Amino acid sequence: MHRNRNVAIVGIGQSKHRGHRPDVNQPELVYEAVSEALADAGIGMKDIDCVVHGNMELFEGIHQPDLWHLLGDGGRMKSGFRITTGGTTGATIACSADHLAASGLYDLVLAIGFEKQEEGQTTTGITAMADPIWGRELQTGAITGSSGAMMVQEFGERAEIIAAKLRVLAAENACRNYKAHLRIKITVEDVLNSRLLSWPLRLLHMCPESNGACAVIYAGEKSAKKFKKPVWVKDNVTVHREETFYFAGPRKLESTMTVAARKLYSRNGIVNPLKEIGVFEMYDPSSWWELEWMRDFLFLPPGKNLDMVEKGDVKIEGSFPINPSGGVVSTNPIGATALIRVAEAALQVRGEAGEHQVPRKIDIAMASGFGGTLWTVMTLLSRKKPWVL
Amino acid sequence: MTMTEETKPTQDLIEIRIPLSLPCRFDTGPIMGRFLKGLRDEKRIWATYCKSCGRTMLPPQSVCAICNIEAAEWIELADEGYLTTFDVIMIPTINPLTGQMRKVPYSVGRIVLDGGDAMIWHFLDETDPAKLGYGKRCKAVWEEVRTGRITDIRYFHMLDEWDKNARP
Repeated sequence: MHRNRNVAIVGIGQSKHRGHRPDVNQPELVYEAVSEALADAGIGMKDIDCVVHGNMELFEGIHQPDLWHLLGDGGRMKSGFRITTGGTTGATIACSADHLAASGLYDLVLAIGFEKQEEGQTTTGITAMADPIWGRELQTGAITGSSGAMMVQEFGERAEIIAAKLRVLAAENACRNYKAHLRIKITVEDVLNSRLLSWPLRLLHMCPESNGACAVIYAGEKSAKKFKKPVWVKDNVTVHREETFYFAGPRKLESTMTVAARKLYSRNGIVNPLKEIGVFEMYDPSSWWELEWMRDFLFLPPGKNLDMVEKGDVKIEGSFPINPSGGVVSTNPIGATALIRVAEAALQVRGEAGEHQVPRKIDIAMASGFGGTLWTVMTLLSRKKPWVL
Repeated sequence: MTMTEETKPTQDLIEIRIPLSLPCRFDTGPIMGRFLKGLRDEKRIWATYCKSCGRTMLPPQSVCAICNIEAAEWIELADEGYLTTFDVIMIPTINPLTGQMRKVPYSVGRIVLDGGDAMIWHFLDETDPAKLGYGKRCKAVWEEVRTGRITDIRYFHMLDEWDKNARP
């Protein structure tokens, strides 16, 4: 890996993420996040060199919404790139904006992710991602209980209680984040009694369909130093693959989470992620996946993920906070979702996450994105300028 | 449980409903085409395999993405095997191939077919999760009239026996 120059996040904006936004159209929703990011950075649209824009393909039934959104994103007569990599869209937008700024071709790059899910059919949209000849007849959007079923097989009823507990923790965090969509007061019993989607996955375990946008401004090193609190990009990793469900069967393949995390840690000299990373904003489409992926991302021995949730380690005040924002199970405007992970991680490094701020100095924050055929994109952020170039 | 805050419109807002219909025609290509012809004409399941790593591939592919080499060899797999992961779907969703709501519950599973290590993804005829599990044997039930679609296999019938070699 070689960087031409360091890059920092210098502006962060999010719309309020809600289940119902009849009061705005898509460009107006995007504008909410963009105007907040510009105000946060203290700059105007004239200062932006390039716009990277993305969402899920065809979710709202519109092809190339980036063209139509120019009124909301300010990209008229500027360079523009459209990113659409499924659930990882927001994470890939973050990587792309970082790479464009790091290249030196652009100085200030505006990254935008959005989704107005109420305008389309999310589950039908995701199902249409499946190969029409092979799997489309069978796929039910992103709804699958198979990883939960494997965990129940391994740990029994305890796994069900802990997955529910993890969902309750997410709800408690979301109640401290005024931008989150599902800010609900729930108990373990509420989760366990909620509607069964695919055993043992229940309605409350699953991410909602949200409307929202996120905007993040990336700056090359020289410019970044002029901003009040630059949060530096330490690294990005993307791991793709084509097989979807080969975590079971006689030929087990390593998960993309494990491969991505191993690359990220080794490139950045991280030996003990639980000690060296201050906060982790994980793309958790369901509490079951969050529980399973804790093991994959953090290289935990069997059962340690369950113990960590049980002991409250993953709480905002715990030893290894995961998703202080409330995570994806609380807020999921899909094309924005993975960019929100990066934005929230950056807010934590700044110490400006408000009521859901982790109550100690965060030097290193990690964010993950998930999507497609179970692929992974990760970002590592740093308080200090990371590379001597 | 409390409901989340909603954004209240300040004026009477107009919402327009437009159903989208996208007629598509998908070419299967020679590799998938041979697999589908096997289903339709022979009631047989053919997979490709990689000579380098030895894995069998379903859906059949001309390239092994792990070894990055051409994998043009064919192997016939049995129409029975054992179940690995499964889903019993309780929530009705739209089938984008037909536009119709799916009837629930229905189950799908990933099945390792005898004769290789590839998994086929298909419907199961058992919707009680307690009666499904890793390693449970099952066998394809074929349609009488077959058209060269994956649904030429109607579903996999769950048998009341476990595979001795299956390891989760």
